Order: sequence, then C-alpha cells, then structure tokens
Amino acid sequence: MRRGSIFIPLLLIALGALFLIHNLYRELPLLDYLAKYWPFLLIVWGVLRIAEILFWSATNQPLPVSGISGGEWVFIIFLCFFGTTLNAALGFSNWFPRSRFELGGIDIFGESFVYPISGEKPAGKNPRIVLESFRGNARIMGGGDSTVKVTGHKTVRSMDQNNADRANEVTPFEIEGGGDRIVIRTNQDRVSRGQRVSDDMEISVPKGSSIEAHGRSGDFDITNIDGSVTVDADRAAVRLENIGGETRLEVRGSDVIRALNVKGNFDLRGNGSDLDLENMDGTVTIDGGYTGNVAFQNLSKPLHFTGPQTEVSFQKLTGQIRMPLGTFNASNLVGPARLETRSRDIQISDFTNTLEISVDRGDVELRPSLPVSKIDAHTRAGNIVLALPPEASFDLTATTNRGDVNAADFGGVIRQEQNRRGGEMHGSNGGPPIELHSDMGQITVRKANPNEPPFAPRKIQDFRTKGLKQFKAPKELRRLDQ
Amino acid sequence: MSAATPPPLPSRPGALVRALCGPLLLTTLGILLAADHMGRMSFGRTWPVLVIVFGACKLAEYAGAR
Repeated sequence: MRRGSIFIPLLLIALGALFLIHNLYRELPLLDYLAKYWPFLLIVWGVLRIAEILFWSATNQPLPVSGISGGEWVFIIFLCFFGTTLNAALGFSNWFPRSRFELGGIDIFGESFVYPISGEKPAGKNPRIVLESFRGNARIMGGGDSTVKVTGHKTVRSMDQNNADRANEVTPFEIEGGGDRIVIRTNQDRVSRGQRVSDDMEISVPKGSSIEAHGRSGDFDITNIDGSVTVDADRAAVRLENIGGETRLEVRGSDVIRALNVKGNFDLRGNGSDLDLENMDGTVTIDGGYTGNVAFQNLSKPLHFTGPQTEVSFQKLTGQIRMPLGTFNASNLVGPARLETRSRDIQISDFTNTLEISVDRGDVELRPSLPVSKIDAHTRAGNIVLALPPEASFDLTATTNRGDVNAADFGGVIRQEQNRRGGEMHGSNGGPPIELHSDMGQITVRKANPNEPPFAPRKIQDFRTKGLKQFKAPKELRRLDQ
Repeated sequence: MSAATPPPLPSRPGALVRALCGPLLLTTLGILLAADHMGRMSFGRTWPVLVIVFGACKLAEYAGAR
C-alpha cells in the first residue's frame, strides 16, 4: 500500500511550532502573520504533492487516481474560508463583510466610475461640523474663512455607466445646516448591497470648528482645528496636527494613528498597528492594543496606556518612548511611573521620581538621574541592570532566586551574598529605597558613566511624511472632467 | 529525473497528468490568494486563471490518454 502524503505530518509540526512560538513570544502578532500569509500553506502543499507524485512516478510506484483526494479538497475549502475570514476580520482586505466579494454577482466585470462632488455653506466662527458615517477619505483643514467648503469625488463601483449613474443619483452629496452646526452627508447607505460607493473629500472649515466624524473605512487627516475632534470609525488611518481642543478617537482597526501638537486631552480607544504621539499638552489616555511601532514624544501631562499585555502610566515625558515588538525604551521620563508588562525587555534612562516595574519575562535596564527616587523592579525571568550615578544615595535590596549578583562598582557600600543558586545584595548610604528582584536572572548594580547615550534614539521617523495616502483624482475623474 | 526511470506502463502518462492536476490547481489557488493578500492583484480579478489551469490539465490528460 502506498504511503500517505508528507504534507499532513509537516503541517502538524508547523502548527506545533506556531503554538510554541506564540507561547514563548506573546507579543508577536502571530495571528496577523497567519491572516496574511496563510495562502503559502496551499502553495507549499501543492508543490510538495507535485514533488511526491513526480517521485512516485519516477520510482515506478502506483500513482493516486487524483492528486488531491475529495476529503483533502473539503479541508482546503474549509481552510480558504477560515483564512479569508481571518484576513478580512483583521482588516487586511476589504472583502466581506464591509464590502462584497467580487467573485459573486455582477462585480466580476465591474469597474470604478467617478463623479465630482462639491458643496459650500456659510458658518459661524465656531461651528460643529458633523460628517455622517461614510466610506472614503476626508481631509479637513481649518482656515480663516467662515464658510465650510467641500470638494472631492465620489467613486461608484458598478457594472456599467447606467447603473453607476443611478447609484450616483440616489447617493446625493449633501451639506446641510448653517451657523453653528453643519452636517455633511454622503447617503451611501441608499445603494443596494451589491454596489459600493465611496467619497473622498477635502473639507475646509473655520479654524474655530469642532469636528465630529463617523466613518466605516478610510483615512482622516485633520489639521489646524481649534475646537474638539471626535472620530468614530471601523477602520481608519487618522492623522491629527495642530488641534486646540479635546480629542476623542474610537477606531476599531487602524493602520496608523498619528497626532502632533494637540493642546487638549487625548483619548484613544480601539486596536491597530502604528501609534505615534508628539507634543501633547493634555492628558493622554489610550485603551487598546497596538502591534506596530508605538512612539511617544514630549507629553506635558500624564499618560495612561492600557494594552492587552502592557500597562504604562507616568506624569510627564520630556524625552521619548518607543515600544517596538517586545521592547520598551524610554528616556527622560518623569514619575511617579508604573509599568506592568508580560513580555518585554525594558530600558529606561534619565528618569526622576518613583518608578515601579513588574515584568513577567524580560530584562530590565535602568539608569535613573539625580536625585534618585524610590525604585521597585520585579521580573520573573530576566536580568536586571541598574546603573546609578556615582554620587547617588540609596537604600538597596536586591534578591535573585537563581542567578548571580554583582555590585563590584559599589564595593564599599553594597554587601553581596551569593548562596548556592541565587544571591542577595544589601547596602545603604541614606537614600530612598531601591528594591530589585528576579526569580531567575542576574542582578547587576553599577556606576553610570555620564557620557552614556539615552536608551531611546533621538531621531524618530519623519512624522509629517510617513502615513496616509494622498488624495489624487483617479484617471476616470480626469477623463470625466474633459 | 523521470528520464532515468524504467519505461512507464502504457497508461502512465495519462495517470500522471491526472494526478498532477489537483496539486497544480492547489498551488495556483495558493499563489492567487497570496497575491491578493499582499495587495498585488485582487482574487476577484485573477480567479479565471484557475479555470485556465483546470482546462489545461484536462487538455493534457486528453492528450496523454491518446
């Protein structure tokens, strides 16, 4: 009897390895990788099977009637369904449920038709601008005028010009109200489920405006607004610059959230990838998981960050924090600060006031500036390095259950005791309490060199250029204009 | 590699093509879906490639059986 395929055992090994990696590196966005790269499973499967069949044929072994059995096709269909659903659910594609799957229905042959939109309304000095729920991009700019002016285009995906024209007619662009409340409406809900309409708008508003925007998918780019900004969207990239009032963002899936020069409090909820905040004058509250590049710079008021595996809070940041995968780098932090995380390597330099760190798995490297305040750092598995200024005063207690202790730099002050597995260090010259503990790992206390660079690199990527798609009229619009 | 093997049975080429058809389709499906997920080309546009590959397999099977 012919042996079975080699793919199934390989798949089992790969699955086991995936779960193992997931357990060891919890911060790794494994589900994201799976959602994006699962079709390679099909490719590997197919290529392996072709190689197998060629091998059987070459060695004159009996060939199967069909290369992929009926049961395997059922499994493949199940896998495709699972993969595409995961891919859509994590927001990598615009397949169902937010739009329709182009395989079915008329959209196989559909194409995009583009119509210009525009509107204008006189407004007061401080109007509230409401964008009703829509799909598409909006660039909102505050300026000197006391009018609200919208230009842009609407894209209808349809089988032919007549259907597109009809969809365009039933989804009129409207700008209503006046004075202190103006509503911008795209009426996209009026088309049938099979068609898709999206609007790209450039909106100029009085500088004193407040913005309330609701979106399904698309980008928001909001600049020079003195009032408050509220964005509520399913999937969006949001960029804010020079915002005077309170900002509240609730974005269920964001590629990127960037905010620069925000004066009021900033409140962010949702999940996403990149998050970049710079020059924030108000309290920053973040509740959600961000798996990409997370960076903070110059925060004048307290920050509270609550993620699925990491919680951070501090009073002020004059330097910056970067939280790429599995790490937390910070410089010039003002406490009282608290950091609790499951699996990250932590480096904090030039911090003042009390610091409390609790890590499940990860190394901790701390370099406080003078005057040294109370420090409490615990890690279950990882090394701890504390670099104190030579003139610092402290009251140190350091214990490790398994690992070495070392404080040779402070030989006269700190007493070391190494036992069979772990070790302890005690020493005081009359300063604040410093408590370090590792269940499994080395603890080192050394003298800091004043020329050591801060942990977080000074330069971060150019905030203004990276990020959102630019608003360009598609070819069709230019054609219609002619 | 197959050139160095003993002479195949008379029905061998047809059986080989028939056996290869499924894995070829599977590989194509994987490539199209991967291209879709990478944002290169929508599966909604490229799916007819599957029909073409299936047709080509059937054609090769027909030619091999003769």
